[in-house]
Amino acid sequence: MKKTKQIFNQIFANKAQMILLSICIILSISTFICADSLKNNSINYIKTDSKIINGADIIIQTNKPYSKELNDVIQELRNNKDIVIANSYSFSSMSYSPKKNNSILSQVRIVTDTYPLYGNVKLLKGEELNLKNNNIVVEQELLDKLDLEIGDEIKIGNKIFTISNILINEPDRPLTLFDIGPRILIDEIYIEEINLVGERSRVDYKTLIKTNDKNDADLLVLKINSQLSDEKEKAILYSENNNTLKIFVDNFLFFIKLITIFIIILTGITISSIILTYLNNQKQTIGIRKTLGEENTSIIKFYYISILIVTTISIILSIIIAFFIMKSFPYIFSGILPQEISFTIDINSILIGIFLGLVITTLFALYPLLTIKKIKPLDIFRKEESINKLLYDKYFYIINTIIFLFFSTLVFIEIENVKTSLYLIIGFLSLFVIILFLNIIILKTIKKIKIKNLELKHAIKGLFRIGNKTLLVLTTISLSITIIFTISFIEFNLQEQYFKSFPANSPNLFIIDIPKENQSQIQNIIGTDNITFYPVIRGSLLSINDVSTKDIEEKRKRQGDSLTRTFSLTYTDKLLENEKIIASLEPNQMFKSNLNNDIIQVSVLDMVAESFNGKLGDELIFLIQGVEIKSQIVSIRKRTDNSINAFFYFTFEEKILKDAPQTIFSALNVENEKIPAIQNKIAKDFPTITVINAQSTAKSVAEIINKLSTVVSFFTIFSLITGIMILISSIIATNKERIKETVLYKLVGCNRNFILKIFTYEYLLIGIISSIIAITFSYITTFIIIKYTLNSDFTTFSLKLMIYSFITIISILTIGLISSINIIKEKPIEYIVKNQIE
Amino acid sequence: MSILEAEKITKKFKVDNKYIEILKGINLKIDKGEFVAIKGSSGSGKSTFLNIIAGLDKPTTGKIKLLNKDITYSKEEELSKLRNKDIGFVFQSFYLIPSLSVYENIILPSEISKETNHKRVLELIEEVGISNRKNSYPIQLSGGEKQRVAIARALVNKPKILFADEPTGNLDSENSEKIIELLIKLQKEYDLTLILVTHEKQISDKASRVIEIKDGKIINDIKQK
Repeated sequence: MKKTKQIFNQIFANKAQMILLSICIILSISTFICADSLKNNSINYIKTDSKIINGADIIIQTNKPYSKELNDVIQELRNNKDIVIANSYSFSSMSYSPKKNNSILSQVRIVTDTYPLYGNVKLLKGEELNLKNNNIVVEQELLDKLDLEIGDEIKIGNKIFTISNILINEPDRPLTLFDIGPRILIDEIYIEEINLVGERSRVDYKTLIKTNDKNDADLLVLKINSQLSDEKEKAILYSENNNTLKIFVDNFLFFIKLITIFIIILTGITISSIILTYLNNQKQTIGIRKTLGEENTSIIKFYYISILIVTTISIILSIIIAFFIMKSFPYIFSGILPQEISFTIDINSILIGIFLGLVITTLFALYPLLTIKKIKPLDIFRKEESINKLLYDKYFYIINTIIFLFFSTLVFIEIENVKTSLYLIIGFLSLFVIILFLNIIILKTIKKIKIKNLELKHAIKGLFRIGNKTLLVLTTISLSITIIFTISFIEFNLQEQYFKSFPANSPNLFIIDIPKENQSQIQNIIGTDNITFYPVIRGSLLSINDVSTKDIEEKRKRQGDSLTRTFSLTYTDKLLENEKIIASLEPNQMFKSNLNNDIIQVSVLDMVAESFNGKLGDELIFLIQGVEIKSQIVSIRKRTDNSINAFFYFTFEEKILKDAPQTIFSALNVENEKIPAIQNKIAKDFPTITVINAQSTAKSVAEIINKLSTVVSFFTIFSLITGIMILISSIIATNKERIKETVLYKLVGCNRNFILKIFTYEYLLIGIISSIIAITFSYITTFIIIKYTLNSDFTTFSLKLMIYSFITIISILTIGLISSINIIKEKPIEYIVKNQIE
Repeated sequence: MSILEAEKITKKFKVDNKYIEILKGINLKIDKGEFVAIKGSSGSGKSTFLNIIAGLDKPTTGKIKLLNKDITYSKEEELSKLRNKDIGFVFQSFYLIPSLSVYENIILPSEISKETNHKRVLELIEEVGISNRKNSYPIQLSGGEKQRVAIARALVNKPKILFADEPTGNLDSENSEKIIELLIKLQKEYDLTLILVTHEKQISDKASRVIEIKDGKIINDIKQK
C-alpha cells in the first residue's frame, strides 16, 4: 500500500507531464477506436448486407442492349422455378411537369415487378411498392424542385405518370452521394411507351438473379458465363462485385486510416519526449534512491508502473471519448456513407485500442526508462545540467528499430496491401528524414548569423538551450503542419480546377441525344443561330495495332478511363475552338488530303493517346454499330483549356460517319434566365432529349465536394491537435531551464518585456521555420498528386498560402506564450530560495 | 553616508498553516565602501536577510532603503533597473546562463543597459583570470572559473554594491581563498560596497565589519581592522 501511495504521489507531483501524456494517449487511441470501428462497421455492412447492396446473388451488368445470346440465357433462367429474376434499366432523363410547366434532370430506373430481390424499398407512405396503373415513386427532391405533390402528374419520355409515393431508400442503392438529380422508379411494362431505352440511349442494363441455394449461385455463374461470348456480358457473383459503394468506402477508409496512423506515430514521438522529461526531472530523486541502495530494476519498475497507471486511466478515458466522437459521426458522414452503416463502437476496436495504448506507451517509455540505469548517486549533488550523453547508445538504436518495426507492422495490417504499405512507410520515413536534415541546416545557418538585436540574439541562443530538443520539435511540428497544408492545398486545387471548368463564358446548357431530324426544331426553341451541334456516334475500340484493348487494359491495370468502354465518336473537318494540333501527318491539319482512300483517318485527343502510347500511324479498330472499322491515327489534338466544353477523343472525317446512326449533342451558353424555359419546352416536346442545366449540376457537385471537405476537415483537426501537443510538451520539457534562464536574466536587470520578447522571437522562429518547411513540402506533394496522379492543372494559391502560414505562426506563438506565462512571471527570489542552502 | 538602511525588518513564512518568524526586527546601516560579512549558522536567517536587503525579496514588515531610495515596495520593473546598473550579485550556485559563452555572460548586463563596452569586458576577463576561457561555455568550466565569470558579470556595469551569498560554498578551499582574495581586490579597486554572507570564520575575518545573525536577530555587529 505504501508503494501504491508513493506511486500516486509521484503522479500528482508531476501533474503537467502526466496530463500531457494522458492527452496524447487519448488523442491517438480514441482516434484509432473511432476509425477502426467505422472501418469494421463499413466492412461488416458491405459483407453482411452484400446481397442487399448488390440486390442479387448474381448480377449481369452492361451499358448496351443485351445480345441475343444473353437474352436467350436469361429466358432459359426464367424457366427455372428456383430462380427469380429482376431487370433494371437506369438512365438520366428529363422529367416534365405539365401542371407547373417545369422540368428536372432525373435518375430514372425501370424495374420489373420482382424488384427488389433482397431488402425493401422504403416509401414515405409505408406501403408496398406498387408501380402499376401508371404509378411511379419519386424522391422528395423532385417534388421540392418542381413544386409538386403526391398525386400530381409527370411526363417521362413519351408517357405521363402519376406520382403515388415518395421514395426514401432503395436497398441496392446505398450510396447516393454522387447522384445528380432525384430518383424515379417505373415499372418495366411501360418501357416501350416511354421510348427512352434503345440503341442510342445511355442506359445501364442490369439483370439481378436470385437463387435458392448459395452453391447453386457459384455453379450458375460458371454456367451462364460459359454460354456467353461477349466479354462485356458477364455474370458476377455478388461477393465479387466491386460496386461503387465498395470502391468509394475503400478509398474513403484508406484516407482515414492514413490520418490515424500518422496521428499515432506523432503522438508516440511526443509520448517519448514527455516521459524523457518526466524522468529527467526525477534525476535527483533517482540519485537519492540509488544512494540509499535501491536497485535499477526496482526504480525502473516504480516509474513504469506510474506511467502504466496514467496510461490505463487514459485508455479508459479514450474509450469514453471515442463513444462521444462516434455520436458525431452520423452528422459528419450524413449523405456520404450509407445510412445503414452503424456508427457504433466496435468491441474489437476497443480491445485493439487497449492493446495499442499499452504497447505504444511501453515502447516509447522503454528507452527513457533504461536511461535510469545511467543516473548515478552523484547526480544528487550536481545542480548544473550535464551534457546529455543518454542518446545514441546501442539501446537507442535497438529500441527505435523495434518501434519502427512495430509501426511498419501496424501500417501493413491497417492498409492490407504490401506495396501501398511499403510506399507509405518509405514515403513517411523519407519525409521525416528530409525534414530533419532541412531543419539541421536551417538551425546551423541561423546559429551562424550575426544578429544585432539583443532579444533576437538571445532567442536564437534559447533554441539551443540544453534539453530544448528544438530539432525534434521543429521536425514533428513541421510534419504535422505539412500534412494539414497538403490536404488543404489538394482541396483548393481540386476546387479551383472545378471552378476553372466553369469560366463565365463556358457552356451552361448541354443538350444530349438530339435526334438528327429534330436539330432545326431545337435550334428554334433556343432561338439563336449561334449553336454548334456535334454528331455523336457510339462505338468501342477493339484493338490498337492488332493488340486487343482488353489485353492492353489487363497489362495496364490502371484505374480511371478505360479503353474498353463505349466512346462517343464524332465527325468533323475542323478543329474545335479550344483545340490545337500537336502532331499530324499533314502539318496542322486534322486529316491528310490525298491519302489513300482505303485508309480511314482518325484524329485522336492527346489525353487518350497517352493512355496507350499512341502515335501517328497507329492502327485502331473500332466497332461502330456492329461494323468493324479499321482506322489510322493521322493527327493528335490537344485541348487548350480544361473548361467543360465538348471534346471528343476520336474524330473521323465527315464522309466516314455521316450516315451512321447518331444523335446530336450541343453545348451552349445562354442567359441564365432563359434556361428553365428552354429546358421545359424541350422536356415537354422532346422527352427523349436530355437537357442539363450546368449551373444547377455544378451546384450539386459543389455540395458533394463540400460534404467531403467537411469530413476531411474533421479528421485534419486531430492532426492539428497533435501539433499543438508537440509544442506544449516541448515547452514543458524545458520548463526548468526556461525558468532558470528567466531568473538569470532578471537578476542581471532584464525586465519582463525583455524576456517576453525573447520568448516571442523564439516561438516566431519555430513558427516561421515550420511553416516554410510545411509550405515547401506540401507544395511539392500537392504538385505531384495534382499533376501526375490526377492529371490536372496546378495552381499556386499564393495568398491562401500566406494566410495559412500566418495563422500557423500566430497559433504557435500564442500557444507558446500562453504556456510560458508562468515562466515569465517567475520571480527571482522563488527560484533562488529553492536553490539556496541556509 | 549610508548606502543601505534596513529598519525593523521582520520576515515570516507560512508553513502548514503556521507562521515561522525567520527575521525578528533587524536594524542595520551600511556605509559606502564597506566590506560587510553577514555571519551565522545554517538556518540563522542570514541568506533571507541578504535577499531582502538586495531587493530580491520583500520583508513582512520594515523598510529598506538602498542608495537613498526606499525599495521596500518597489515594483519589479524598478528593481530590474537597479539590478542592472547599481547592484551586482554573486551566488553560491554561480547562476550563469548555460547557452551563453563566458564572454556573452559577462557582457549581457551592459547589453541590457545599452552601454555595451567590449573593452571593459575584456579587462574584467583579464582581471578575474579567465582570458583563456572566454569562448567556453559554463558547462566546460570548473567551479572556480564559473565563480570568476559570475564576479566579472556582476561588475561589468560598475555597480555601487555587490551582494555575495556564500560565493565559495561550492568551491574547494584553494579556490575559495582565491575567490575571496579576488573579491576583496576588486572591492578596493572599484570602491565597492561588498556585502557577503558566509558561515565560515576565515572569510568573515577578512571583512571590515562582521554582522552576526542568530535566530533572526543581529547578535553582534563588530567593526574589524
